[in-house]
Amino acid sequence: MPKGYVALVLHAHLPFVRHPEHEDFLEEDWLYEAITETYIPLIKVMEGLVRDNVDFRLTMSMTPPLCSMLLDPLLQERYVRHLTRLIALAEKEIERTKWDKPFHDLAWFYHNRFHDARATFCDGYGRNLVGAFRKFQELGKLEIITCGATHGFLPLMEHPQCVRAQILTARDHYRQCFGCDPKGIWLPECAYAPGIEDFLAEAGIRWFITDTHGVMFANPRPRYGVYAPIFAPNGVAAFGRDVESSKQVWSAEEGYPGDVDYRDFYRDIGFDLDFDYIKPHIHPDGIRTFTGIKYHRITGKSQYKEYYVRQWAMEKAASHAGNFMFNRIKQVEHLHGVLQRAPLILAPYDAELYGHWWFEGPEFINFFIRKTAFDQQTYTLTTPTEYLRNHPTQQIAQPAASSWGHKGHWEVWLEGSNAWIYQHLHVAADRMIELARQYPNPDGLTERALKQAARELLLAQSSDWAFIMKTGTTVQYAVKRTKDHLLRFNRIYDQIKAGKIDEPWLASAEWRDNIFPDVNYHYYA
Amino acid sequence: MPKPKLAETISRAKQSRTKVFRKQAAIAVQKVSGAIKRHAMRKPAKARVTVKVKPASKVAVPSKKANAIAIAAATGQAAHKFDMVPAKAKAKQTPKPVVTDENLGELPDTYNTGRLFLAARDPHLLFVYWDLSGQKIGEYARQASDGRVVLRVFEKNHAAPVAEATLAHDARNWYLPVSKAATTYTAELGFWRHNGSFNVISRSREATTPPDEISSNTTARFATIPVDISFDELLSIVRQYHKDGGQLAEEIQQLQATGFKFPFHVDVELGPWSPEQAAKVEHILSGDVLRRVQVGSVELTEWLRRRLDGETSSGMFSGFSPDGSSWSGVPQKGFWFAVNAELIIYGATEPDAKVTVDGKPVELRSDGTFSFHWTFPDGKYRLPVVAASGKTGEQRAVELRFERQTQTGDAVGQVGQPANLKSPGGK
Repeated sequence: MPKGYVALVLHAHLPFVRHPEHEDFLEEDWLYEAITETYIPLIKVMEGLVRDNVDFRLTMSMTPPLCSMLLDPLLQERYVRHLTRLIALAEKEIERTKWDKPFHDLAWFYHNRFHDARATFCDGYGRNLVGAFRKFQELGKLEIITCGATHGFLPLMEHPQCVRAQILTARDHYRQCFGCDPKGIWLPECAYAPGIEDFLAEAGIRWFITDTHGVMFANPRPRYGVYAPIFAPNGVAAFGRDVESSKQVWSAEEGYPGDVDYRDFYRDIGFDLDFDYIKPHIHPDGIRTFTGIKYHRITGKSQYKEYYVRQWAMEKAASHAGNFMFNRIKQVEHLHGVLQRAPLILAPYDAELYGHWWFEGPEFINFFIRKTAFDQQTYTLTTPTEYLRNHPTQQIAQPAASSWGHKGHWEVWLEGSNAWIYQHLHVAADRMIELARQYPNPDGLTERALKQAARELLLAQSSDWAFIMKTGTTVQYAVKRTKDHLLRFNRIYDQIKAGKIDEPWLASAEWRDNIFPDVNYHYYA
Repeated sequence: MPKPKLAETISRAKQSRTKVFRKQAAIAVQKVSGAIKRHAMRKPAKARVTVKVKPASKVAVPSKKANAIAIAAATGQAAHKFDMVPAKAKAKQTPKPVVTDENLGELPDTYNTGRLFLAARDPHLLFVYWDLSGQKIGEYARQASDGRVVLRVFEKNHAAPVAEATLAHDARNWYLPVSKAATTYTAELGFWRHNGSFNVISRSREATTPPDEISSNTTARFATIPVDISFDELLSIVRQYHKDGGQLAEEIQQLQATGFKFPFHVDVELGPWSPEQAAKVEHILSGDVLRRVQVGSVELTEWLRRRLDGETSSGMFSGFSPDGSSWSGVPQKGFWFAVNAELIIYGATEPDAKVTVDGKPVELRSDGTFSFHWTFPDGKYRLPVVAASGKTGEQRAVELRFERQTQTGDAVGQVGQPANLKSPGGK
């Protein structure tokens, strides 16, 4: 029997950004970069573990917007285009760096990496990365959980119907993507308020994750702290985030990703190289962007950077994985001594941390899993569902309202920059509920309009927009997205109420905002 | 880049390259690249573009003898790789609907629903907004005995408000500090009538501030709830004991405590639990409260989004931890300016020709093009470029001369250059 359990949870999410009306759209790069730098590397890590017969458990939330984008033919096509451009750039770089071996080797490294990504994406999985992740779930190694339909910030929804629609729509979409029901959910922004669990139970979802204080401040006091889940009074389990393991990865002072041997994110040839040389590879409007080709290591705190040495970085990733394992062993042993039972250490992270920001992150996970399998016997890796299966007896307590945002509650999403959105979102919700109740059996065109109304409301609710407004960057885009979805919603509402649906315009809205083709607007009734 | 434009570019490039072939081999282009970078957190997106600035006389003086011809020839050879959408894939894409310009207009300032929305933003702060126009508030105010519309916030089951405020004409929301965590509040909007009664315009739902400490309630009730038995099945097992408004886990727990037979293994007998253990757990967790990791995913996500604007360009990092420390690089505060220059020489000839730059042989690409990219520090440079035909041995030669003189005050820095660039030599 192990003395404890460790559950790594990666939250993979990007807001739904898809602009068929533009040939090139800067924000779509979020997806392309995450595919190349995070999702494909994670798939490669899992492929390797399965190939080498290393038993492992990993949990990932894959949000409905992310899955929708990964399954979208237009974005898949554009991703291939993006990769093709990158490969061309890498070829130019091989040529340019010919006389400088370290850089030349790195140019080849990127060239091979991009080729490999294209092979994995196109040939390995037929452009369907959702299917790739699904494969590992079906092998019993990866547990995939869902999220809110559009990552809506649930505690600030005035209408319970909206919370319900976010959760049930996500459940439905999960079924389509993964062929089964989700057992767990990552609440958007980890934001929980009492009552949300009622809709989770309705969706058949058995557990969710809160930030540390969501479980710690539960009532009654959880005997085992965050080292065991609690059952909310309705039977849905809540798992609290472990702070210690988070800190080792996240902390600015102690975090692994800041090591001098790791690749520096900021030195990118998109900014470093001559404008005319790089222009074909950045945004067509001449906006310099990150290309993903980066030749330097962090080196130190100054702006002086040495070139990146892949081998050193790999050695460091292995060493950090060993350190992470060592610390988990010590943590588990200590907690086991106190609790007199096997603690669960739940360590959630943004998936995009691994690979995109921390370039060597996927290798860190790879080393950590392998070392865990072969170099120790104190703990085993698990997923929350597997843990509950093996430990069905837990304490009953009411989890506390909480989020993983700054200061732990709603402040990030409700402050001076973004408070204005809620009035509009709430009125749209009033209207959606009104429509859903008024039209239980609509005709074909009205049904299309009702479904589109639901899509526009869902897209307007993405927490990403409020978040961006708060952080003060790409604000215009977030404001525009919020307004556009609300304005489209209002126009549909007016047209349905007036009995005058403008079909060509409705078709254009369906073409732009094509998420959830089968959305069930009756959830709002 | 849209495809038609690209095709045009390629076509132009090919034409100009042909001309170049017939003339001299070498073309030199000087570039002065500059970047105005701003502090990452506070500036709008557009300002972050690295701009190409014309060489100002005080910054860098290009030699008049340099042949500065800007053409796309050097990039022409890779053009086919930028073919963006294969014809087959294009055919698959949904045709663009007719309505592209939507003219969506603007959202209204208010809907006049009268909604009063109350939320507990954190353990000690309430947020309230009201959906009423200033005009409507004015109308209510005129009906009031004292000309005021007031917002009142109550703690649940308390008659006296914990806070009361007069609505300003143009105010739309209110942030109200409250003392009690884990407490339920309501808000109401209204005015005092002349008869002394309070006329409620709108009432909010209840909002409960989150708890901010470990619960003093140490009751521990455990239930066995197998994760693979659905809630429906569990409910059917306890149905005859189920009460309206009853909670499933609590009902299961009560039945399990009395020895009720469940169709699965129940084990709610836990090991002993001592006050010492409880104290240790509290100690560990109290520490965690204080050490709550602020550099969390949200901060990272913020950064991920921000850097896509190009706001965090090379070497600059504002740091996303609350104390301003960063992982790589020192934040630049306030306005700053940096400029630098690089030198690119490129050209083309017959693919089998031999070309030397400053006496050193140059390897041509398969289409006969070549390019060199150097740093361009202050100094005078002379670079002879010679091409010899592979067939006839006929030679063409050109000498490129450059001079850079940078005159700047202390307040202007240099943009970092790729470490792999070398000096052009030829001094």
